[in-house]
Amino acid sequence: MSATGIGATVRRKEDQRFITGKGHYTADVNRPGQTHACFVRSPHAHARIKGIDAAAASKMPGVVAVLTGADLAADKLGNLICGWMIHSKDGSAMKMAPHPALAQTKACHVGDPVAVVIAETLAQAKDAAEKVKVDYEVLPAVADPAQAQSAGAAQIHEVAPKNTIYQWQLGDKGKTDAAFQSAAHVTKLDIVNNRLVPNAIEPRAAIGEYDSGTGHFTLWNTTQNPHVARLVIAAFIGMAPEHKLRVIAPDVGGGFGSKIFIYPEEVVALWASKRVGRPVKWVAERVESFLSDAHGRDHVTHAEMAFDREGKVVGLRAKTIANLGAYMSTFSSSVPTYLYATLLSGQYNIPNIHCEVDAVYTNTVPVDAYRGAGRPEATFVVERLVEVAARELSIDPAELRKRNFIHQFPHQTPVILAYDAGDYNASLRKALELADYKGFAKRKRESARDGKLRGIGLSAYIEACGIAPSQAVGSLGAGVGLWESAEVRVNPTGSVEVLTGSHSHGQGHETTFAQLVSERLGIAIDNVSIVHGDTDIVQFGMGTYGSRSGAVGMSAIVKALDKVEAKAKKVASHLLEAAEGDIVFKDGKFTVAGTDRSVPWGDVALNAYTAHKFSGQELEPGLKETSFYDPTNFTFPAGCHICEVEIDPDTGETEIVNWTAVDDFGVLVNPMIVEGQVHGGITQGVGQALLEHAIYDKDGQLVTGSFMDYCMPRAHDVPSFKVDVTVTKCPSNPLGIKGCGEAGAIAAPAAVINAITDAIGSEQIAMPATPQAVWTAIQRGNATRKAAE
Amino acid sequence: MYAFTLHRPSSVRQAANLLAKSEDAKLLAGGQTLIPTMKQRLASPASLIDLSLIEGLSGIELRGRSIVIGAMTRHAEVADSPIVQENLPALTELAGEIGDPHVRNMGTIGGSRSGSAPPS
Repeated sequence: MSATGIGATVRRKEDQRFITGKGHYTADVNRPGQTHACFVRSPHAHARIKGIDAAAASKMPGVVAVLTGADLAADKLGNLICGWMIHSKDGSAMKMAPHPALAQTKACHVGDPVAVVIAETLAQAKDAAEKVKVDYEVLPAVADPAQAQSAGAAQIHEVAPKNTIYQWQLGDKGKTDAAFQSAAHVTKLDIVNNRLVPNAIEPRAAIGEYDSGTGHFTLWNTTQNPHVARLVIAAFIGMAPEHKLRVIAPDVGGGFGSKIFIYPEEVVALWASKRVGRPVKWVAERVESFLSDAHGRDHVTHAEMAFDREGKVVGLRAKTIANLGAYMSTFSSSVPTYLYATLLSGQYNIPNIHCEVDAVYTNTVPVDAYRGAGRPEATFVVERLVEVAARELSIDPAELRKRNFIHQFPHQTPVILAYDAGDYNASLRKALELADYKGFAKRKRESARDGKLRGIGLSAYIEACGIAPSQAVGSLGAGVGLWESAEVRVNPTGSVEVLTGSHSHGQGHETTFAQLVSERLGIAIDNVSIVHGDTDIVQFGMGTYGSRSGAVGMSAIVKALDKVEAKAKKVASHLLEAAEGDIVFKDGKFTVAGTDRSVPWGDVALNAYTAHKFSGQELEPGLKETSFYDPTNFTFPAGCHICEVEIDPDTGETEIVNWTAVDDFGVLVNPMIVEGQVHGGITQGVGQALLEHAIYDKDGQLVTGSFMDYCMPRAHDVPSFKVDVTVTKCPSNPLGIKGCGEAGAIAAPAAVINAITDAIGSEQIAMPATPQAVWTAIQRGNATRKAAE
Repeated sequence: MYAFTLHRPSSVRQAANLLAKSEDAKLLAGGQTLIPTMKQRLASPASLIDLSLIEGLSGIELRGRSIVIGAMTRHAEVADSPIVQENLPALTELAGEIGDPHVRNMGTIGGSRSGSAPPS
């Protein structure tokens, strides 16, 4: 390992600019002649739009235009789409309702944009937006997914009777039910996976610009995947042909999934820029983020796990209602299906699994992928079931897990996935050791002496990352391939630019990708630049989500580097006057095997461009190669997290006193960055478990619509984490990487709730386990115990 | 935020006069609640009377068995005060945990008391 190669703890190259305020975000972009957009949003969850009177607003100072859904319809722009087809059990296609960028006949959630005011200044746009009179006929609304399909519920879209988008299933129902019938023990749980607001630190933003001279559009946008944004806006919205639309994602300050999707505001900014003939800029305010960024989770599940007499799991079945909100967001359909039910085998050898998922419309903000996307929901189901079962069967939770672990690889689960490598015992063993599991009983007694309740909870999670083999996802309904691209451009002086289809919005690609190049070519890490996020500069790429940039994005770079090395060897063979097959490339030098004759990297790069030493007809000058890498399998990061809590029974306040995380991410490129990802992921998971909850009232108003009432985790909510790894190399990609971006958020909620329920001796606690919820559960438990006496 | 007129009186008497004669005026202490509310267009006072230039409204002193804390005393000053620390350590702890350093350096104990919002 070199000092800056794979496995080295290299400080992040990008941090100097980020922490000194020199990042360049979409909001920092200002275009000559730019105007500002303010959206008029529906204050009602469900309302027919009977008319919009923009006369007064249009006369306000500085107003350039007021545009409505009718104007959008007049320009014949297409609807926003969901790009993953799911079929119901009966074979029918999912019921995708029209989603115009500006509502046309009715508004379907609070925050649904119905008009936009374009003005010289933002203040003028806001003033005028208040004067737009929308004549609403308020309709009954439904916000609770469990109520959406009931007979009396408000009907949101004509195409979807009973608000049902699809009724999907995975696994063998007959075999699973049979396994339950002959089971010795069945554990049952009702689970609500609470709805979350992503809250990236940088709010979404968009600047649209139309060049009437060339007919070209440019969109600066806070996106995790600029090429996919361009494809959808060109091919489905019909804004412009793909080659006349440039999407630029400059520095992006956090995404967590919420910036994957194509949103109304960016479409409107582009469209309006042509309408008004000037650039149009929009930057979300935090309240707008709450009302328009795709939310996460929101599942209602009944799940059961069946055991034989030896404590072996013989079956798992689950029924889930997934709330997809008012419209189907870009990848929403895949989250509660192929990213959820496929993970219900967890780390365990479960012969029979059956899962049914009903996806429903409600009058709420659309729901889509959020850090983990389906996999946290699956892990919560599996790890809660195992933990509760252990308590019911009086088997130590660690022992019950061990008894059911998968030991042989590859392992085909009954729910599509084929796990390729792992050692679940190793991560469990190491985590138990680091957490001093054996000493817990003593710590519990000590806490009891202080009047505190202490609990410990495990979460042995697995995820499917490195998304994903294109053919496989195509057969499951994906509208796109999920390969990744890279171009390695060697300059005449030997420095290198890597153009990657991945997109960094906090992950540190500028460092980790450069580490790969530094190691492979033996050049200084500072001689490598990573270029991403501009469709005019970078070849088509699929972007960053699903912990895919290391496993898929870097693999594409490896393939391009292979080609660069092969070409460079040809150049070197001319310089060294030796046969190409005799050239060995190592430590930045090309050597004739078995001799001391060598030529350094820089000379080869220069000669590739001067082309003086070889015939330009026999060997093309230049040194630049492109590769598209399609993975052969998902990757399967897995590990064991142990959370230990101490609860004050008088206040219900939970303090996380210890956290141990032992993860198997395969090969680590930069252990420091991996550790940071684990810290951030756990903290987000703790947020879900203890603090965060997007609550809608029965009328569909988001009552937790700001940081005043939606509680984000802060530094003091988490302990100092004990983080360690075990390593089994991922066999399906050249670097052996599995991915680490989502693991913490996937593992954490179950660990926290398992610890809390252990402490209070009751399973009846929903997320977020606020002090009030915990206190109430303790009181209820006390009352039940008293009644029993 | 809507347009408003900002007054910066230098005495309590001036401030009281301004308050009496302006319609829909609000007193501005640390602005930790009022300014965000105005930014969200949820409040639109015609004028603000900024109290920060008035001498004598802030400070902490021990008078017999009482600690007298001026209404314009910032949370950070309360948290750092040896008088408070010695005589009312619970208040030191409380003031030191309000918001973040930004909030504590601007927000005032008087403003928090007048606002009476749980998070203030």
